[in-house]
This record gives sequence, C-alpha cells and structure tokens, in this order.
Amino acid sequence: MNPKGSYKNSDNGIETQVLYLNYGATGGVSDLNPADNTFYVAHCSTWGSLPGVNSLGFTQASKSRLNGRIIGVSCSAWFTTTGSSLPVYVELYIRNANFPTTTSAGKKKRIGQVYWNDQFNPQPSFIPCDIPIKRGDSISATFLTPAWPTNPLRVNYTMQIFIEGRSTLQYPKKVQGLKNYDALWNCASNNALSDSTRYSFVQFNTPLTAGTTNLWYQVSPYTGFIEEIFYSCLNASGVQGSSELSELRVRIVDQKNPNLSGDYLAGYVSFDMPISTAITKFLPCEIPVRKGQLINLYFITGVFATNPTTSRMYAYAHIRGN
Amino acid sequence: MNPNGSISIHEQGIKSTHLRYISCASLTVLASTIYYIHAPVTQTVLQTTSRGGGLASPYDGFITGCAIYNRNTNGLTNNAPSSLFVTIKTQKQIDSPVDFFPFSRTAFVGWFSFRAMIGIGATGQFIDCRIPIKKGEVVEPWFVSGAFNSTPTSNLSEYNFVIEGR
Repeated sequence: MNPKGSYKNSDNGIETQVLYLNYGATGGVSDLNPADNTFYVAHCSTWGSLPGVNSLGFTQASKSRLNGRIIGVSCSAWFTTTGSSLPVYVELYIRNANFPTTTSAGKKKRIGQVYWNDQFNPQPSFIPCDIPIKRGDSISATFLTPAWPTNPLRVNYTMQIFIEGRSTLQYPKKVQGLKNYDALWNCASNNALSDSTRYSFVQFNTPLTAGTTNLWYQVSPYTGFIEEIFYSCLNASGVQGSSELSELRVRIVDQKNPNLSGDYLAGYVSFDMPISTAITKFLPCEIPVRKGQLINLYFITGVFATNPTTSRMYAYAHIRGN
Repeated sequence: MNPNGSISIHEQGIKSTHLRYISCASLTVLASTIYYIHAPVTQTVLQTTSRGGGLASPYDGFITGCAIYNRNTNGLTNNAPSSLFVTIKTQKQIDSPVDFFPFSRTAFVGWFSFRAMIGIGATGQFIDCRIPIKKGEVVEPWFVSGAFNSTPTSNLSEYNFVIEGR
C-alpha cells in the first residue's frame, strides 16, 4: 500500500482509534520526579494519577476497540528541570482481554526513545511501530528511565497511541471510507453514587455533575452515527457497590435547530467493580448525530443495595460519519 | 453524501483521527492576547509563552477541522471572535538528543468564541479548515483572543484537531 497511491479493497473501511496517556504535575496529584533505571507506567486515561513504578497498570488501562495494529505513538513532555541527554525508552504493554486482572503477563514491545533534556523544547515525536492488537486488549505504556547524571524534575507528558483496524471483520462497501472520531470525557475526582440520580460525564478531572445544570458537552465533527460507547469506571478505594444496573444515556443538542435535539438510551452499566479495579465495557448503539451538534453523556443510577464509592470514570462516544 | 449511502472511490480508504489539547487549569483569558495551547494536556494551562508542546500527525493528509470545547465557570463575555492558528513543524531528528525544526509554517484555522451558554455551562464549536500535513509533522496550536467586552474567567478549554489522511 502506497500512502499516496490507490487502496486495495482489503484496506477500505479501516478505522483509527486514538488512546490517550497523560500526566500533569499540578492539580492535586504529586509531581513525577523520575528516578534512574525505573519503569513508570503511563495510564491509558486522563485521570491524572501518578504513574506507577514497576506496575503494569492494567487496572487503569484502556482497551482497543479494533482488531488491527498499533501504528505509532505521538509523544511530548515538559518539565521544570532539565535532565541529562540520555534516552528514556518507550515501551508498550498489551494484555489479552481474557486476563484483565493479572499484572505479571502480557506482551511488551520497546518501540523507541524520547529525551527529557530540554525544558523549553518538549521534543514532540512520532514513533512509528507495527504491533498486532485485538479488540478488547488492554494497552499501557511505560517509560524506562536511564541512569541520568542529572534527573529531570516535575515531568508532565502526553502520549497518543494510534490504532488502525476494524471493529468487525469487514465493513460492507456502502460504509467503507466513513471517518471516525472519539468524543472523550473523563472524571477523576472520587464520587459516591446516590440512588436514582442523574450524573453527567464531565472533563478535566473534575467530579461527576449531579443534576441537569452545568452539563459538559462535546461537539461532533461528523454527520453520522454514534456507533459505540466505551465506558470505564474505577473504584480507587472505599466501598464496592452492588450490581444493580444504571442507564447510560446520550443527549444530543442542536444549537441551531432545537427540534433535532433528543435523548437516547445507549445501554446499561454496573458499578460493582472490586476495589482498585476498573470495569470496562463497549456498548454498541446507533444514535444519529450531525456535524456541530453537542453530545452530553450521562447516566441515571439504579437503586443500589450497596452504593459504590470513589468512582472515577472515563468514557468516549465513537462517532462514525462523513 | 449519506452515512448510509455510497462513498465515492477517492474517499475510500481515508482514515481519520484527532490530536487533543486541553487547558485544564482555570485561567482568566485576557483580551487581545496570544495564548499557546499545549499538548502535555492533563492539567496544564494555556500559556502566554510557547513551551512548544505539540503532537505529531500519524497520517499524510489534512487537518480538516477543530472541535473546540469551552467552559467558563465565571465571567460571561460577548461573541468577540478569537482567531485560532497552528504552527506546523517538520520533525527531522526524532532520535537526536536535541531536536531541531529547520522548517515550520503557520496556518490560520478559523474563528471561535469564548462565550459560554448560560444554563449549559460549556460551548462546543467546530471549525472547518483544510491544512496540509504530513506524517510525523508536529502541530502546535495557539490563538489570539478577541477584544472581549469582559474577560472570561476560570476558563477550561479543549481543542481537538481532526486529521484525515492516509
């Protein structure tokens, strides 16, 4: 396949998914002051939690929604104190969906290196790779630090992992070539969930919003359908909730034509995850959306026998359109 | 073109993804000021000096738009438009200890507003554009804020640049 040439039939209909790994040093979590010769795990979320040391971090890993391959990683970092000119190795860990809680196994691939030696130049880079992955596999990334003469301080980084593949074996011709976009929400702060309450997904590591004011919207770049919602919820500590189901819903707001606004039920989710473990789930749906419309993702809790506490949530709506 | 309909041959095989930038700490956005939007995104804030935090495109193609998401917890402002730009830098030495960017170019993306809708709390806007980009090139966005009649305070914002290509 030539990037400037024609596409084979077998290449048509290939989708892209992007996963985010971010860490920022302010806002209530500790600074990352990396030590020598140490693995740091970048969590596939934007919860802002401190990278774990010598931990594979799969309880917070995100999942591939595609059968395909990881084609590359975009990396960028900045910090307050510059380190020495030695490379930090970037590695990806991939874990099969059938073993979600074990921390010792998984595939590890070293894909390249980055430098944290110039605080005024984050040295953004695209590291190409070609790693097979299946739908439902968990992905984490680690940094393996060198033995720096001078260690960088207060490191902030971001990575975007790009996956290409298909969510089904083959798209029919009529939907080949449609484009993809993931509208993302993440809620970092701990929330105890009440019964029969509406909670809106928010952004920027803020708590879930109860009620119907101050809703947090994403905007759709394409006209098409929300075809899938990925939902992940972590119980960081506290009480494990019981398994009663809650409704996960989508509100579409058209700013120009209110008649096109509407509410849709995407599916049901539970919050009975064990402590320090995340529930991750794909909810297939078919919700029409137009370019420029606002999307609000929210859920209405059930009546819990035991209410879950300290829930951190992360979700995206996958839009497929033109 | 209908999402359930046919796709022309030249559009088949085009992939799409996006680069996400977030200003996560509350910021008062001053009028008529340059702000740089950085990619180490989780909890960083808009900066008035560049830290150069860009993200690299995985495809040869175009930046075809930017979805912008704004929330001002305090301070309403008018619709005075702000102008969004991207500086695109060519990545030459990703394996070098010191990257350098001998070639860069700047493109105007479009206009957007910091006006937050009352009762909703956040605005979503989508800017159409068509800016050529190559695989591995780094996108560094920035904007010049509008001549507001009052300043948006405690601003949180998110910028998703949509990349389409091969």
